[in-house]
Amino acid sequence: MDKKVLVQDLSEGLVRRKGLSQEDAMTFVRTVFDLVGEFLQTDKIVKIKGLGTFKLVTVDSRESVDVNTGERIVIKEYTKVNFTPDPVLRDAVNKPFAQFETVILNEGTNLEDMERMDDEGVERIYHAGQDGNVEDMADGQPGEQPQVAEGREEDHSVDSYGKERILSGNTSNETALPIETASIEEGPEDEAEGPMSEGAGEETGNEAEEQLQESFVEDDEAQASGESEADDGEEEAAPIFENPGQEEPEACGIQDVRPGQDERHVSNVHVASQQIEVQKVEHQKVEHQHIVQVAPEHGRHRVYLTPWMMFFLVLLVLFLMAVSYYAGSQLHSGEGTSQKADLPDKPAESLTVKSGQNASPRKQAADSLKMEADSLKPENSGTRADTVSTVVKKETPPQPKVEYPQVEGGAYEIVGIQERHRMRSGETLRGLALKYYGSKDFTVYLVVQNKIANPDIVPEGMWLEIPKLRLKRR
Amino acid sequence: MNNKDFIAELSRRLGYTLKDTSSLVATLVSEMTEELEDENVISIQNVGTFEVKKKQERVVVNPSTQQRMLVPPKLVVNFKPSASFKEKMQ
Repeated sequence: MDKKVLVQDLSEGLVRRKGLSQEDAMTFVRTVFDLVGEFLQTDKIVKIKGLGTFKLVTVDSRESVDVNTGERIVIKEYTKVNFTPDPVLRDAVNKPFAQFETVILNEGTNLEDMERMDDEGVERIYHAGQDGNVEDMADGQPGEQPQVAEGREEDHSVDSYGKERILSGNTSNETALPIETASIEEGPEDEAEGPMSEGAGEETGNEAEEQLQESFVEDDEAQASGESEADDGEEEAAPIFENPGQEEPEACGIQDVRPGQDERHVSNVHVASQQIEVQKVEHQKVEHQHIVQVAPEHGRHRVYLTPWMMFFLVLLVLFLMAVSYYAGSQLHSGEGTSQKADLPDKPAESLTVKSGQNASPRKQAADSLKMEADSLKPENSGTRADTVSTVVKKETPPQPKVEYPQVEGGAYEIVGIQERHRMRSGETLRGLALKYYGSKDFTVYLVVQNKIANPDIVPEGMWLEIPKLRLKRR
Repeated sequence: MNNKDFIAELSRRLGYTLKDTSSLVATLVSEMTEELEDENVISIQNVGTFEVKKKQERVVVNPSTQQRMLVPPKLVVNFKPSASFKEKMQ
């Protein structure tokens, strides 16, 4: 190791292996390298099999600054010797590290990228809520205790994004709990919870909750059936089915708030001392077990969640929703009539209040689809149309279009035009964002407002609208 | 200047047959490879030194896809020409 090998040592090897005299071997080794030098001078390149390639590279003259005097000096053109080892030699030398390979880092590890991908943020959280549900339901069996601590610790270490996911996991659990069932009658919120609870109805393994959920599901299904029956009133039915699509982004917001409001004690308990609580309180135990299962799943999913998997999860959820809607309207077609009178009104109201005008184009689209579906399937038009329209709703990502384009998931919303700016040579969007908002992160708002396809290429002389921003409230 | 030319010239100068020369060169090269595998420094007077250096692992970003990759550490052979050799090359 780190021994210095000289020409003598190399020639000794030759003597040993080839039976040359010591003197001849020395001459040979020297001649080899002399020849390399000579040929380099004449040919600029020398290749030796098994060793590598020596090459002469000309470095152009360039200006530099004398480190001592600070004067500008010119470094003259010179040639340097470049050596590229032969693959044989390279691999032989690298043998100790040969088993390493270049690894692609997963999305979960790059934290800075999270901010950059703000647009996807909301959707991801939304998907996370969804898939959290599905998993929750799929393995709704009581889990092992040791995982509690583990899962929790993991949660604390993750960023706010992760927390949000967990919170959404919490709330989705709560939908299955007695405490929450009380709030079902309250109002539009339960619209957002609808799909989740239906998923629960399909696959839950918890006996105790089964009944509660059943009644809960019945409620929803009653609604669904009520809607589907509602004198074929497209205007009424459409806004209701708008809800699963429209309100779920809001549901994300709600989920942020609600654990703080009505479930504060629960979340506090989680953070402080879950293990003790687990032993004490039965209800909470059930909850914990749910969370336990959700939390480690998240840990793993951050690694493996590819866009395709998300897509399939969403499809799965859609399928479950469609099935439950279908089943609901079949089974409870008679029961829902009493509730339909008041229930459909609320979501309709909430819709008009929350996203008045922008709902209408979507509604029309849904209507037209519904019409199509109607004409295609006259036998069970109501239910088929419903499933179609819900599917359509889910596939178009919900985005509140007010009068200005919005950055999805951004902390600010565009409320007006602050100024107009003409791009000059050398200016960048980042530079402008820095100038107007004080941070490069605001570039996205410029991009969105001006509908710039490629933020790296903005033509000189282009007029940009500098949007006025307002902090979003949830 | 490829390997064949090199061996031809070498055999001409030293008076060995082509076959002998190429086997001698091969032996010399394998000798050097072995030494380098042991992470020894080969120093040849008036030419330069061959040594093995460890390149640290590093993270690279594909600029077009923003894909981040971890490049493993590796050992590479480095040739440093001596001052006299450099002088000769000018």
